[in-house]
Amino acid sequence: MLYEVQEIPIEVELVAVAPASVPSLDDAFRDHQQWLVQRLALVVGDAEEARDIAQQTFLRAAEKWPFPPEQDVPRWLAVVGLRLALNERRRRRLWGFLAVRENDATWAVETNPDLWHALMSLDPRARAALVLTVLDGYTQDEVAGILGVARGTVASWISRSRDRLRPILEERIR
Amino acid sequence: MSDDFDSRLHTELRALADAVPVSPTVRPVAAAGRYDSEAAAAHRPLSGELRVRSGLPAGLSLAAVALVAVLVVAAAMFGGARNGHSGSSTGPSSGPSSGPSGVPSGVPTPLPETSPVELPAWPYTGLTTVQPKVVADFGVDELTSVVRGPGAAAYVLDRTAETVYRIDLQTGAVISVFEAGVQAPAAGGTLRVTGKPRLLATGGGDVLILDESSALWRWHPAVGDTSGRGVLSEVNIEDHVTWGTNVRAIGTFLIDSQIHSYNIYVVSPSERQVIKYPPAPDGSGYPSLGRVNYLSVSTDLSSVDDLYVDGKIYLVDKGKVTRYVLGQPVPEWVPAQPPGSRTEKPFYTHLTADNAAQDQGTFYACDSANGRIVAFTKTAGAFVQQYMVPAGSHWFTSLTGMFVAPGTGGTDTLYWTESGNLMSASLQPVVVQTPSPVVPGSSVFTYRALGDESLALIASKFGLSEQELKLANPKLDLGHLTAGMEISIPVQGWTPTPGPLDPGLGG
Repeated sequence: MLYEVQEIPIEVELVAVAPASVPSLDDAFRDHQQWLVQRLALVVGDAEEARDIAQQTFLRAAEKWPFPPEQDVPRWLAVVGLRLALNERRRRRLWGFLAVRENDATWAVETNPDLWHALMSLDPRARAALVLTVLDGYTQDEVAGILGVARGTVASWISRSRDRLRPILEERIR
Repeated sequence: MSDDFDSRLHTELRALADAVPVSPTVRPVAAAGRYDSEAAAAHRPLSGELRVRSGLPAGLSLAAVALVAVLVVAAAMFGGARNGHSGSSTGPSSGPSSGPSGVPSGVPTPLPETSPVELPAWPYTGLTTVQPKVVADFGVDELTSVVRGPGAAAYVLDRTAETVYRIDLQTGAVISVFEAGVQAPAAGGTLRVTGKPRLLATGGGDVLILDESSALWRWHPAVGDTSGRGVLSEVNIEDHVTWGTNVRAIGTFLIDSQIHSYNIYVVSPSERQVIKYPPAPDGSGYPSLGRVNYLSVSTDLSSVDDLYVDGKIYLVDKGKVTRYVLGQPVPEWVPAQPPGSRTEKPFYTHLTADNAAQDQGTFYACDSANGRIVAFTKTAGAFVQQYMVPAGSHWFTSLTGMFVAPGTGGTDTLYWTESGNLMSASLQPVVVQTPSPVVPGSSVFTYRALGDESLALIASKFGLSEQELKLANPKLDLGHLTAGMEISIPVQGWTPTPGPLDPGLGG
């Protein structure tokens, strides 16, 4: 069943055109969709869900586009995407239907099963903090701001995550 | 070794990330009963979630519009492949604007300057055009309230995320202090699960949060902590269930600053009363024995928008601000009609003040019908000033909460929630000039007093003697002005500094 796409009031927005100096939304989509899906997949543990959340993120970006020139677009996308992902998981847990979801993680299991299973054993917010700091170079203060928690909480998550992952990676180093 | 580990961790995580299939794959339809049915039943069409505000600073480009359409179709198609049901993996959504989100970027972002400022076409006096800035961006989340609380931080109620965030106004740091669905200490040493937050108030160093089950929660910062860590517990009010679930506003009044003890006020339409609770002397809570119906006559409170308590009580209802003393309305106290209204009358929805003391300071009220903030004195309701945003900007029309924070140099700052943002605007100190007959060889300005000011003080501001002022204002028989009073200033060779001038006026 498809949604009734024709009901979306897109036509009203045809009258205005973004200034040439501001990147268009499709440019942003092209530049950022892939890494956003990759980050979200590591956090939610499911590639398809990550794509869905990335789409929602860009839909939300569309509502606010064009961003002010000062806006850090990747950061905005990361913040919105991760919060969508984390809030969604919290809701499902509260409603009690998290466990029946099937994960599409063949890609991860085929790539590095040990790391993947260890990663999935972490709290999703800890995974998000780990991904943001290790892969994207955000500081712990920045991650605290993104996830809406205290810096000490982030530090604790990262420390525990590293302790959990260390045996696996050091085993592979040996 | 640590460097090896970090490097390895980065490499392995990168490899995992690179393995994520960015394009959708075709998978067999899985059977998952409960999730499927509930998600499908609760999910709403994406047309509802695509709530593009008409007030965007600029619209979408054709390409962007096309992209949105592609995304919508794609979302529907991907959702259709998921577990045999349409929609994305999103869980229950409570409304068009309440998808799971919350976007506190926490970094103040100046809006594009609107220059030159286009002033409204209709006549205004005492007008200051303010420049809004984004303090924190919560995307399209529905922010329903904001208060100024402990640590001089802003506390924002995000109804979409069912969370109350603390926003440090100096650093922009965002941290959650209350979330629905968590356990916190309640009366009798028990634990209770928090409900969705509905209303906010502050008092005695606490942030008060009323949830959807009319349980009242108190958050206060940890001792010595300024980063936002604190303790959440339920306020012990035995009979809170009698309030109903449609409480319109809550407020506090500090009665002992030494021990941070305060009364609590609850606007309950179910009980047609403003219910007042004094605290128990031992600090254990708010016993029902002390409960008082504040209003002398039961009143329909179903449309009350805001409550302000400073010893007297002010209710904002159906666009009007009414003062109550000892439970009785005071019909003599009416905020003065601000000059220049797009509609016949202002329609006030929110009220705050720059001074918590009774009868001191200035009220700021949001007139949503005219898209402005109107300042008037607490004492007499005399008009002081009005604030608008540059023409073409949509702020002040759907404001959901506000407060005024004192600034340095006498410049207060207005903070408010609107359209998914915590916003701020500096309220410049105002010296108002209005048109006056020009005396040949000189300039004449009209000065409006912001508070009680002596003629000698005003004269000294303009390098005049008190006698010269009196000569220019022969009808003035007072030695001082009160807030809102005007006086002519004869000034030779003096040009007012650019500032909050009235539209179309010069020197």
